[in-house]
Parts: sequence; C-alpha cells; structure tokens
Amino acid sequence: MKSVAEGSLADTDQVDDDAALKALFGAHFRELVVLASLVGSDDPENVAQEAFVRLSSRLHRLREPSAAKAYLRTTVINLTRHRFRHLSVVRRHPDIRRPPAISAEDEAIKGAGDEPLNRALSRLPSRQREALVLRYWLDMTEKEMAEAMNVSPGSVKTHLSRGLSALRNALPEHGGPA
Amino acid sequence: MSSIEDRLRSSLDRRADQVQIADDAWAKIQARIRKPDRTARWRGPALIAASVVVVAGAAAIAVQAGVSQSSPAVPLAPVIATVPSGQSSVPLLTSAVSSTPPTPPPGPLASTKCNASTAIEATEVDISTDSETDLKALMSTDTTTPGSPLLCIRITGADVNVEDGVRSGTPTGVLQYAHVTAVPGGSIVWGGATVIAVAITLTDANGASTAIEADRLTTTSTGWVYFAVFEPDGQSPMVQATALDSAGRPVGESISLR
Repeated sequence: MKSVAEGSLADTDQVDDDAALKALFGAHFRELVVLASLVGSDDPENVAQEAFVRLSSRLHRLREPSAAKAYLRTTVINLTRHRFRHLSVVRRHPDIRRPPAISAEDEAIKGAGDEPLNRALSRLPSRQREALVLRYWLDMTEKEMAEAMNVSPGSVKTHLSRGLSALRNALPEHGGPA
Repeated sequence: MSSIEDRLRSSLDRRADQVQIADDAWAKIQARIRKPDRTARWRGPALIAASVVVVAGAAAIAVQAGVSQSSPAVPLAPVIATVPSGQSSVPLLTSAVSSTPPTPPPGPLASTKCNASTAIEATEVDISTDSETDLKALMSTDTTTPGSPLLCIRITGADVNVEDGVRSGTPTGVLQYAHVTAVPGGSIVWGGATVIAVAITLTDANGASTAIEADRLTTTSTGWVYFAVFEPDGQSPMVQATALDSAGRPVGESISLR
C-alpha cells in the first residue's frame, strides 16, 4: 500500500489558501502522482500539478475541508482519462504531432514489478483500470470509488469484475490462453 | 500461485514505490497558479500534442477574449451535413498545429441561444456500446441569429464525468465528451492563414454560461456545448464532432458542420 501521510485541512482551516494548499501538497502530492501514473497518465506529475492548480481556485468554496482530498483524486482521474482519450485520437491521426515520448523514468516505473500484469493492466479500458487501481492500491471502498470515478456503486462493481476478468484472461497462469 | 488480486496489489505497490517527485514540484504549482492564462498552464509541452487540446485551448482563449457571432470576420453560414460513420471514424487533420493561438474577433459571445426548444436537430444518435457508456449526441445551430456560426452540440451519457470532482445533485443530461477535428476539405492551422477558433461554452439550467478550458470535462444540467467557428480567410472548413465512449472509441455517427 501507499505510504502517504493522511493530511487534513482541519489544521490549516484558519490560515490562508496558500498554506492550506501547501499542507495538502505535502500530504497528497506524491500519492496523486502515483495515482496518475497507475491509471495510465504519460505525464503524471503534470497531471497532479494541474489538479492542485484547479483546487487552488476553489479551495475556499469546498463545503468541508475533507473534500479537498477527494477533489484532488477525482481531478487526477478525470484529467488522466481525458488525456488518455486525446492520445487515443492522436494515434488514429498520423498527421497530428506525435505525443511526447515516454521518458526512461516512466518506462522504469511501468516496468517495475510484474511486466505481464502491467501490460495487461495498461490495455484495459480506462474505467476498469481506474477501478482496479483505486481498489487494490488505494484500498478504497466501493462507495469511495464511486465518488472518485463519478459512477454508481453498481458500475464500480461491474468495472472491477470486468477488469479482474480481463486480467485473468490475459495471464495464462490465471486461466488465460497460454 | 497467488490470486490475481494479490498479484495486482503487489505489482501496484512496487510501481508506486518507483515514483520519484521533482524537487521543484511545489514551485511549479505556485508558478502555474500565478500565471493568468490557465489554458497556457495546462498546455505544457507534454500536453499539446493532441489536436483536441489545441482546439479546446482556442475555445478558452476565444471565450476569454470575447467573441461576436455577428462579427464581419465570421462569415460562416452554417450548413449541416451528416458524415457517415464509415468516414467519420477516421477524420484527418490536414495540417500541423503551432503554439500561437489565433486572435478571435472582439465582442461578447452569445452562448445561450442553443437549446432543445429552439435548436435544429441535425442528427441524433443514440448508441448502446458494449461497455459502460451510452451516448446521445444532438447537434444543431443557433436559430435565433441567422448566419450565426454557433454550433451547438449536446452529448449525454449515462456514465458521467465531473471535471471538478465535486458533484451536486443527480447528474442527468450531462456532457460526456466532445471531440472536434477538421476533416479533409478544411484545416486547423493554429496561427496560420486559415484559423478555426472553437468557443466552447456550457449553459446551465439558470442560463449561466461557463467557458470550457482545455482538457476539462464539465457538466451542466443541460449539457449543451457551443462551438463558434471563425474563418478569417472566408474558407469554410468542416468541423466535425465525434462522441467518444469512456474508452476513447468513437460511437455513433460523427456530426459535422461546414
């Protein structure tokens, strides 16, 4: 599991937005970069930064401090998914400028662990990959996942089930084709 | 043999441990926050590649600068055409993009003219995909201003994205995703002789309009998106909108306006 300190805005409720944002940065930035990377972003740090930038303009409008963390997570997921769609469009258009090359660091991260599994995970539809990452990396409940992904709890179950099934099918040792 | 769940958990943890954070991340965030043009912040080198980013970026710029649908610089008379799905699945960009945005005509953007009661339905598609998303696309032009370049698109989906992560109420009739490209016969040249700036504005149930910035998914109760097309050189390229499902696949027939 991640080793990210749980932060709260409660401690920074009375200070200015900069300080509150910095506290959130310290508590969650790394987790958000990892999240963006695991759900498929080709530029996870940029995505995480953008999430903080967007949060900065509405920090004071959040109904409760704890919403900031959920906001950041959901924004990272949405930005990554949106970016992923763009790239899928770009790949269909040879005339469009090529997307940036994946860095050596990205390759190293993606190659870490279990390469066949990572490859199978990367080929899943976005929603399924998001569900698996939120469940098995962040240990989110289905309710939390539904909020982060903006889908119903029933859809979360479907994405999880389909995602796991697809992984099993892709891996011979779990019942997939040899 | 471990279960697939255990294997996945272990692999994700190992990948997470590999992630390194730049020392200047906080400084970069602060710099981006202070920068007045939010679109430019997002349009970093790693994110400019997709044409849709450029088009959407133009939207933000156009809306921010103000756009007049009756400007002399906007001679486009809308003619609706429906592109067969076989063709629409492979729209082409006929030119590369550069980083210099066009300057849209001055003036306010009238972005509240398109709605279900006044718009012309050019085409409507209702598709059930094999995944989680059902999309419906409705395209029309602003009928209240003859010759208006406004192109209105509404895409609704059961699978809802909320850009800012703060959802209120039950989302219905929500924009899922809209993608605009030029097709053969037209072009998008960013900063060149032929320019298409696409202004995208969403209007909520109260009539309040919101400009969409690059790479933003935005929800409204009406789900309408407004595209204002500008062509300084008088050419009339075709703008095409394609609904994509959450896996990035085109669904249904693309709808186009020239």
